[in-house]
Amino acid sequence: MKIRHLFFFFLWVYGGYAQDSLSRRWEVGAVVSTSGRGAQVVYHISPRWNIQTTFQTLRHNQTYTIPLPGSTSLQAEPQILTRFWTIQMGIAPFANRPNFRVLAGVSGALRQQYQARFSTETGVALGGATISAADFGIVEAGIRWNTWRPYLGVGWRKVLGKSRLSLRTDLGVYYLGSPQLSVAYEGFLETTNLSEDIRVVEQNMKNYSFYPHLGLSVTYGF
Amino acid sequence: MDFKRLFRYSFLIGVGQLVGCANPLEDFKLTFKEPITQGLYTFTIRDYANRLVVPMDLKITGKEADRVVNHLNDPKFVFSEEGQIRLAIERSIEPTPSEPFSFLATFSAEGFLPQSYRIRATNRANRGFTARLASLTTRTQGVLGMQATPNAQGITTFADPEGLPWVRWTGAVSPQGLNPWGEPVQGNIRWRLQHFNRTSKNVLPGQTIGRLYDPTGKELPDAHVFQGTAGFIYTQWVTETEEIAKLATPLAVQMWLENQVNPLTGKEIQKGEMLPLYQYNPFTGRWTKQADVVAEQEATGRLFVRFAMQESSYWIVGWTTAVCNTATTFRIQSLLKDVDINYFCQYVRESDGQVVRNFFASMNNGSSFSTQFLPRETGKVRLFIYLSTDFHGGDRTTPVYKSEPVDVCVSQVVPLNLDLILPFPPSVNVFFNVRCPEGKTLDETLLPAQMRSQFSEPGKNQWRDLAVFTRSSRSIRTYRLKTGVTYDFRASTDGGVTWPYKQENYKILASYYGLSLQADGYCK
Repeated sequence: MKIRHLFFFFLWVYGGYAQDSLSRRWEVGAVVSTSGRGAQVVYHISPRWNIQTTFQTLRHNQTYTIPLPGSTSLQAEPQILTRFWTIQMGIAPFANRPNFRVLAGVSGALRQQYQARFSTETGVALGGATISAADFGIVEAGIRWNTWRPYLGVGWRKVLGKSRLSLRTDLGVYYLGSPQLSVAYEGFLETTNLSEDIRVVEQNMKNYSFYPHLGLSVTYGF
Repeated sequence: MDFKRLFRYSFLIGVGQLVGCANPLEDFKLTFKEPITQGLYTFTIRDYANRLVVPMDLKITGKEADRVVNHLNDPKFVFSEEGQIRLAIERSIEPTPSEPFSFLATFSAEGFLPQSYRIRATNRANRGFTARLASLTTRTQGVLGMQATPNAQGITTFADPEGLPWVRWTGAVSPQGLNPWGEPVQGNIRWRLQHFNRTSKNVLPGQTIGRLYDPTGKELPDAHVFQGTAGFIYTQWVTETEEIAKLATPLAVQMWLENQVNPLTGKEIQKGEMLPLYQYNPFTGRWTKQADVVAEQEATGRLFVRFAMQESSYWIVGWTTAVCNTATTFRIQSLLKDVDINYFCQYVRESDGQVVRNFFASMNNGSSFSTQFLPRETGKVRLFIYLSTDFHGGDRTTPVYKSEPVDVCVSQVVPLNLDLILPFPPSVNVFFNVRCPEGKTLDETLLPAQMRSQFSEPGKNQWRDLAVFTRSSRSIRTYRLKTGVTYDFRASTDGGVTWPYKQENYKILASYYGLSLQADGYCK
């Protein structure tokens, strides 16, 4: 999807607020977002307030081959698996725009695995000497943020005609806290201080604390 | 606040966050661990045929077991592909005679008799051990491992896999053991025994009995070498955490003998014959000639001897011959200096031209070697030197030098002038070369404190030491390599335990060789 299409989509959803009557108190639906995909339940407490909860999961496993000098290469295998449960409170701050919401809540990580595994089948050439595949061994790096993550964002909702279906778009940010890095290895890196040296990287990443959220969902009201 | 303003502020906050983030790799430098160089215990594990034993298990026990680390100060122990492992005293510990550091290291493998080493360090001196594991099922180089449990009467019988008993002792009911420092040891004793047959005299500790004592502690004249053995065992008694050197009361031992020709009489051992008994105590390093034992015969016809055993030791019924303790020393005068290869030499008996010893020796100016431990009856020998070395081989048929005959047991120094005989061998300059990208220079502080290198014939995996580089000394001259020859090279940054850097099939075209690494991480 091109950027301008995304822009028009937002306009379309945003323009639909006037049609909403909030006649349905409950909505259930499916969501796709930068945090993964999952399910959503929305309860409208009043015309201005609603509470919503979302379960999302994200999985990514794929092997990438990184070419290195001397016809050698490195295999990188990201292993990402996350499961989050989010609960948010929404309020329509503008009386004339009841479908625009400001959302605040918290997300709990049921599972957060951000890891990458590095190995080589060819060995690694170092411009003269080489490190064989067996000596290179396996390196596993991981990153972890806080389990509980406050969320702040905005949302738009558009009821599709007179049906019970609604389209929602959320845009916001999670506060993750400062990341903690971990690294485990066997092989030549065992002769290094990588476990301590990586704290420099961790320090450099201490401000990598916000995760943008862009989500689309389709809900059914009843 | 209207919607547009809220959106604008949110956007600015988001962008501000992105701009505020630093490059994760800024100032990141990968540094090497400084390997421990003092307080190291290097164990090389082999079976008696000098083969690797895999998989190997190591158990460290004792009061200070949790302060034993590997050479990188980590509590992780992995055997190298050469079957070697390095244990070290934690870097912060400084053992003293009043506060020694002690632990028990036990090596074991499926089908082999475990072997334990009791370490008691009073300083950070390094030590090396070759741990020979004896198979429990197959006699290897004449050695078989046996273990047994005393019965209710304290009788302990050690038998081979066919059930044939070789050693039996009594008196092992709740015996009080003492460790090598005379301290009482508690806990169940595991009785281990290695049995050697007559083909295994080459595995004797030290090969030669340099100093021999009688049971009263009086030193006997001459050094000795074994001519043959008829009964030969090595006992090791351990608890979970201690090694026992001595029992409070002796065991009564019955040791069966092999049918064997007494080399002194030239006849098979006869019932009633008196046989010499030797003891080597590995804790004290002392050889003792015990009182002779008498050969007895059981109904089956097997011969045996009986003796009392209080110390865990090597016990040998066998025959020795006297060898020279005092000897002729040859002192080299030559043009060679710092030549790191040795030349092939022989001692040739003057009376009949027989070679009595082959060896390699340094021919650097000022070096020396002697005729020590040659049999006294050898008489006079000549020294032959060949243009053949331990690294390059060469002619071993025509000596380039023959000395005058010398008496092997006479204490004297014989100078040898080899100035005109031994030419300076060709050398190769070896250097550790780090190639930095353009615009960057080497940061010596990022280099490993020590980088060891080895070489081998291509594909043979028979590695020999080449050089040890340091941060400030990254070039050496060696005589171990030859130009025009192809080698495999490897390098280690952890003191020689792991060898991750390899350069295979490299032909040395000039009189220099650079172990090159193109690694930005070493540059600034």
